[in-house]
Amino acid sequence: MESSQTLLKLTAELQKLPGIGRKTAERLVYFLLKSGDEQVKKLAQALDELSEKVILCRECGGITETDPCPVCSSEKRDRSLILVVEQPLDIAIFERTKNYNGLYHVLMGTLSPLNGIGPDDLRIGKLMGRLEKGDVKEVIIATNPTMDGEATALYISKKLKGIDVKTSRIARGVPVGSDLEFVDEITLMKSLEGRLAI
Amino acid sequence: MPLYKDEAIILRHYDLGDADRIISFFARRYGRMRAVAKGSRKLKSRFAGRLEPFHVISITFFGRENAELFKLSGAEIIRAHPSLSDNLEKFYRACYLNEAVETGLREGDPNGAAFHAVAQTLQRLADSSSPMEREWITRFFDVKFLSALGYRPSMGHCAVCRKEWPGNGNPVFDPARGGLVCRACGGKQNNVISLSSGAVKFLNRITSTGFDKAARLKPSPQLMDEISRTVIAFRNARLQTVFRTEQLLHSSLKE
Ligand SMILES: [Zn+2]
Ligand SMILES: [Zn+2]
Repeated sequence: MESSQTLLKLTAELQKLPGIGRKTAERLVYFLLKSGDEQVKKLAQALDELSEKVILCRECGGITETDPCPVCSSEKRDRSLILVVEQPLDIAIFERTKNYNGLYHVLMGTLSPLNGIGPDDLRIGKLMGRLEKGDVKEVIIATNPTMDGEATALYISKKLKGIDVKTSRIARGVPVGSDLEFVDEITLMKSLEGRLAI
Repeated sequence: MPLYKDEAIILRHYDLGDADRIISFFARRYGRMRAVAKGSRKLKSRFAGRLEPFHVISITFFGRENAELFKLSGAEIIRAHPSLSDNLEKFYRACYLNEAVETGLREGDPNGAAFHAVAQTLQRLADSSSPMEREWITRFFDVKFLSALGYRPSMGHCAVCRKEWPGNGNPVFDPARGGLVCRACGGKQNNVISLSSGAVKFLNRITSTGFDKAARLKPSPQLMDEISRTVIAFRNARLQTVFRTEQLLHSSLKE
């Protein structure tokens, strides 16, 4: 493979993808070489379309081919609710529950001081802008229950203190179908704090 | 491959692939290291919830000797500090401790005294009740942590000629030279800090006080100002980095 600049270039590009090292990249390149022109062209076309058609919604930051996205432009969604998530893919996760009918807002990450990410690097200003219109009654913060996710939730809830909007945080607790024996201490503690009357 | 068992503080983690994480941790006997925690982002992982920053855990990991990246095989929580994310200022300060470890210690360099300083300070921050108290806890940490790295500020002697400090005159602290500097050694240069004699006594006391007696020391607000300025200048001269967590802390205090 030493002689071909084209192969080296492709291997180098593949290696930039998360979870792909040099060996995996080389294996993928060999696979593509073996699988013939048609397969390679389909992949190239799909990648082309990805950069041409797929964008991030200017309102919520979700992945979409129309701007604003189908959720943001739908008449059927409850415009008084915004669910705040870390990543565009989190939207798909909540959509799969088929139980949430409000709008979304993607932060594009969490506060992560040790990785150099502060509030200005997140789409928090944009969230504040969306709230200014006054339609939203409740903001549900659904960042991950990690240390960084909790700090981000805290930061947003403080920002929202001055505005007439209800702020809530998704509950943390014991996973459905799990055995208490295998649940960590912090989760158990949070599940006690967040207990509900039955 | 050898299996290692130790007590460790989780510094941070970052995602690897679909379900794994790389954990950066500071182990009491082995120093700062990194390990892959396979499947740790999955709900049913035995690591789930146990590898968050600031947790003190009992850790087992394996790998070649001197490996860059180890593999995590076990984690049990010894102490967790969930209250550190109940308050942003606490959170940024705790992050600062971890940044200090990642900045000040090379991977694989054991430093039990530095470990002790971080572990004790996390507990003190978690228990703390005011910003002023936390500023004091943080600066006390700086002195102890830097001492553990071999940078103990010279407060009883001139940092240059080692002559004992006479206890009168106008004390001058030179961050670049690592402590008080007497007049003969040129305590009149730029970038030096004039200290009150109260601050000199207090800083001297800090260098010789352990964490067990730390809670008994409490500086007044003016004294705290002097101590903060001096300790931060000393730290910057030694570690030569801008702390991102400190910048975030300052901008959050302004909001
Ligand atoms: Zn949208
Ligand atoms: Zn001298």
